[in-house]
Amino acid sequence: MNFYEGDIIKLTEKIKRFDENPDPFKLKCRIKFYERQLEWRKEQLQAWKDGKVFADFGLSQRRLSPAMGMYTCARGEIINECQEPEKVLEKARALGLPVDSSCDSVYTAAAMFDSGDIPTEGIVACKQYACTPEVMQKMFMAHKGNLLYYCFDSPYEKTDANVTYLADQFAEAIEYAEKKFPGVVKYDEAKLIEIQERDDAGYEIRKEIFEMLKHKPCPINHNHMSLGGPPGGRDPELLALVRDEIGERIEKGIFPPAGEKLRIIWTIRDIQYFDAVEFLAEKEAQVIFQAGGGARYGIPMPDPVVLFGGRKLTPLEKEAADSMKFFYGRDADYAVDTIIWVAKELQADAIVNFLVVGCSATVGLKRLVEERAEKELGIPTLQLESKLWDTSYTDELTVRNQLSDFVEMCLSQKVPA
Amino acid sequence: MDKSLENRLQRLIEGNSEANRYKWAEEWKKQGKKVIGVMSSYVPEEVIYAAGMLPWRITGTWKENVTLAGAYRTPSSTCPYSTHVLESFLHGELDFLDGLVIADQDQDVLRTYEVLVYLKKLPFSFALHMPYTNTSLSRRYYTGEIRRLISGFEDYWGMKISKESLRSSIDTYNEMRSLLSQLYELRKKEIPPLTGAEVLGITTTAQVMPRQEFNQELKDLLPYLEERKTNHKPVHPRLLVESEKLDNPAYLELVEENCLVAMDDMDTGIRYFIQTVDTTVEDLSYNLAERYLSRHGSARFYDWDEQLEQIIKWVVDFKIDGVLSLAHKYEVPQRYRMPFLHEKLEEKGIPHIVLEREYPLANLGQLRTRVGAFLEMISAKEESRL
Repeated sequence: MNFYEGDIIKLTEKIKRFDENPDPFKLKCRIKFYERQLEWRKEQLQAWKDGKVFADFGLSQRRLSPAMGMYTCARGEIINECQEPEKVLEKARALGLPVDSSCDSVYTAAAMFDSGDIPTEGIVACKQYACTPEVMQKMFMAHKGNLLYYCFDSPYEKTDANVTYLADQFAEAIEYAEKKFPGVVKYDEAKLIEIQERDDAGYEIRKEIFEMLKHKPCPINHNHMSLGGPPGGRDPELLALVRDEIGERIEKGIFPPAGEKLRIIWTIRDIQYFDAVEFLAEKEAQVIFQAGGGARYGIPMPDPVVLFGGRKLTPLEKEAADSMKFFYGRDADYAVDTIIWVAKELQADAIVNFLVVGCSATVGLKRLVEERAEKELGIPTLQLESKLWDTSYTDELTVRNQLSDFVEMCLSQKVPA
Repeated sequence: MDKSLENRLQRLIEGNSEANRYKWAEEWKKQGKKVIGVMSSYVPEEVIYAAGMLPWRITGTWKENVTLAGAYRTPSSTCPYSTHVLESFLHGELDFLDGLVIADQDQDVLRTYEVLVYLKKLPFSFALHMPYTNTSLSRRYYTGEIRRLISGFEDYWGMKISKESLRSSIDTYNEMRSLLSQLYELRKKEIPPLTGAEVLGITTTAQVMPRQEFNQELKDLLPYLEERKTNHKPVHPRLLVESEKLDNPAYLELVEENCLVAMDDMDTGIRYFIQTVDTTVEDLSYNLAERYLSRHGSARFYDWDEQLEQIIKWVVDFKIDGVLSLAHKYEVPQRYRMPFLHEKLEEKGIPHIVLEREYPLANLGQLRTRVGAFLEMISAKEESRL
């Protein structure tokens, strides 16, 4: 059974369970997201069976790839749903990948590709941010699978010249792909504009949702909100359902039953071997937001940069400029500013700075996040280092103890309102 | 043996030792000139030299303990070179530097730089953004980065880096590259004049010593080296060592206990000086970009097939019996290329082994044993061939 077949079974069961036993404290509209996810998985599986071209266009994979008539594996989310992590880990080791010293999010995808768990991509392109392990994993796969490779190189500063540089790379990658798959891959600008417009509409709603999270107590915790995955996470119709339901909760005073003694911002990714958000919720420490990903996906940090004198951007320029809002893996100022901004806006009491072992993008910033949170917001930070799946570095018990001690410390220091 | 020349040679070999590396900077500063730290072999040092400043490659502390840096990074899961450089900064060992220039060849280097900027440890700091490929778009982009570096120097120090001074600096660097290439040619001899550890001593000295002075020394020494034969025994098997950020010759001394390192593929070795900059075309910034992006690169560049081809060519030219990858722990690009490199070298019948190493000298017993096993394997292969 490949990944998609397994996930289709998993989602079908999830939907069934939801119907049989709806949790009153979780959003009812989540079912729509599951259904949308299921539908999408079926589309991906069919496309694979039909021999369609799959491609990974980095941060533009869900915009540029479909606009070129290609499908995407969406690796990021596949890694979160990995069904047999131990097997994958062994496979990665057998491939000679640096499993002990590298982020498991990165080598998992390579191992799943090599196992035939997910379709081989016709084209791999590095993401538009400088996550060294991610870039190297793509190079590894491109060489191993003899795939067409394109590295999107994104400078840190959002300037006209840098946006043009990245937009020119998109244009060049499109040209390569069209040549490699003549008649199959064809860039459709109107399609890209349509996708971008829908994303923008979804983003506007996410901004409204972000505002609602400021409410004390927060109407929903990260686990119950977790809608970021494709394809629903950007769908304006589905996001409108979320907004309306959260609004209704605030109006009716329906809040998570465990209470909210602490408001926590969790950074970057979820641990996969243990539900840390639920564990914290039991201690009345609510993870109200996960600061992972980027502004485009739900962190409405103001962006003062005016590009090209304020003229309308071309679709490829817009693609470039939007991807530069993604804070993970960018320069320290932008990455740490974003985390601090979120914590400030949502009036967080603490930050859990989750650092994936081998994540060169985040581990080197740990003290900067901690010191700035302390100096600028007066809140503490827990540096929690672990792998996503692999418990050989840090196990569940250690994580539980770290979180418990941290909550206890925060509560003892918290000045009563 | 000409004692005076031998002494001069030893001075070059020992020029980047813990005892000696700072003195070049001290002497330079005594003349009222600035010293700029460099943390990547992709930094176009020619620009710094054209500004009348000394580009000085930062060697991190070789002590194992990194208690201060540990607060900012996790030593057990991040690039040790960067951690040890940060430790040196936090101990004040590098306070004499007037600035730091890096190229973000990997995120560990970038994050270290950012911590230093955050801590206001540097009067002047500059980070160049490195593309991952060598294409017309990326060359144009890196040309812009080099121009930005020139402006950065001019604006901060209130000076002008003229075309003439840049050209003169490039000429100096090209001369250094040519001299070091001549030195490497001598390594092809059955009994070369120097061991691998000695050569690494010289190439790392080249990165901290005033370049004109280095050139003069090496130029004077080359005729002597033509005649010199290393006393080192044995001179066989001959290895090529592939590594990143390896600046401690003691690692190669250990490897050479029972063999000879006749060639390297290291950023601190051949990659530092391979390929000159074209000065016949007017746009010097573009020419610099061209050289830094197109020279035989590290694993972070996509052209692994070309990199492999070059390594195989060296194996032939330098009569190499085996390739030893001294994998720097958490050196992500090198580690991801490793399965590719291993598979392809094995396909060509070239023995290859990967041994992990720390930045400071550590785990020597294990390393010695594994090198020994590799050498035995090479010998067995040779015997079966005969």
